Amino acid sequence: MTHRRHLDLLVLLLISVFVVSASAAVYYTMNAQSTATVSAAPVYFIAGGDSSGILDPGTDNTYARLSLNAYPNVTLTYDQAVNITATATKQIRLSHVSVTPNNNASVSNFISVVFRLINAGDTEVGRLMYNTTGNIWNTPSPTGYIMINSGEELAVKVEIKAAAGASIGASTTIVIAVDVK
Amino acid sequence: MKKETLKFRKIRRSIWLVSLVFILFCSVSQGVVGTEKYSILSLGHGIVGSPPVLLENGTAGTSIIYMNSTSARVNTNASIPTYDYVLRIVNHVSDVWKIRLKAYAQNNIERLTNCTINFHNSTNGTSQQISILNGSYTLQTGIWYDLKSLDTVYVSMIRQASDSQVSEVFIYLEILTPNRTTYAQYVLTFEIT
Repeated sequence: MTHRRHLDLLVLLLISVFVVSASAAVYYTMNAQSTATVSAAPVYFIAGGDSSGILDPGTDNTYARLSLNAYPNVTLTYDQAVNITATATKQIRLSHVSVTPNNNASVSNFISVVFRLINAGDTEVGRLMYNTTGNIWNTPSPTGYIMINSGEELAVKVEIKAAAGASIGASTTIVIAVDVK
Repeated sequence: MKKETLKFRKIRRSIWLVSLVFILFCSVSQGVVGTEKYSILSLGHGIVGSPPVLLENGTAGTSIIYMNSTSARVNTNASIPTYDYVLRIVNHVSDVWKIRLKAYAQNNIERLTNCTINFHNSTNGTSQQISILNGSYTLQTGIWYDLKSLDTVYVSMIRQASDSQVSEVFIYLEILTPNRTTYAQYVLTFEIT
């Protein structure tokens, strides 16, 4: 009786392994089919109130280049340097990608660059803060994921401050990512 | 007794079956309910430029203009109630701006019975920007005032204190690009004895 029960379970287990393998094969085929369809990214950049003259939008609005001014010993704020919107409810966060130059004397021309994510209620929902220590840029951790609803618009507010006595023409390039899931 | 043992075995077998079905479901659905993830990139390129608006010394009180002429400290240490003018705000470019004062911190202002900071020039008249009456703010942020092309705005003060201690008011001079929300903040410190 006990052997019979074990035999039953073994057969059942084999059937389950077979079904799992079969399911995986079906999934693979479906995946190959879906890659053939190109669709617009559901989260993308759009111009904000301060974008004119500073924003160079990339193809498909999935890349945004911002040309920002900085003045010595002055905090210059762009309330809406660029905005982010969505066609479906998603979660997004800001994360650091790169900052150049770094570990270089030119870095000391800057005090800080702050990217703030601002919602329609003018509330900050995420922040990436870069600041300098001598010739080094201190890079931030990613923000937490926040929800963006379909049709909602979030502003990217940028604050940039150059050091007192900063050299005219000194520059920095910061690349950040908007991670979507 | 034997009947109960059989029943127990049936229950155990059912649990096994349900567990297997559950494992199967999880295995199959793992591929189907995957999360789509991607990133879009923003590149910020900042370049240090010459400030278009600069601070210059006034003719009343003592003003220290710091490096780059984008921050200043004003000291009114005489027993004169009116100081006109303690600073000049000079537009060195043909662009027009809107400017205002915003007090963001203070020390020992309780002794100030009257402290008023104004903008004025020959074309726009006088605009009260900061007001402290009997130790409390009655105006902490001024209204926007036009700084025209290559124009100058003068900063004047009226002050009265109840004793000879020292008070400090920390103020941003905000310079707004018209029709935008892009603005610069210059730090001004007013020391009042």
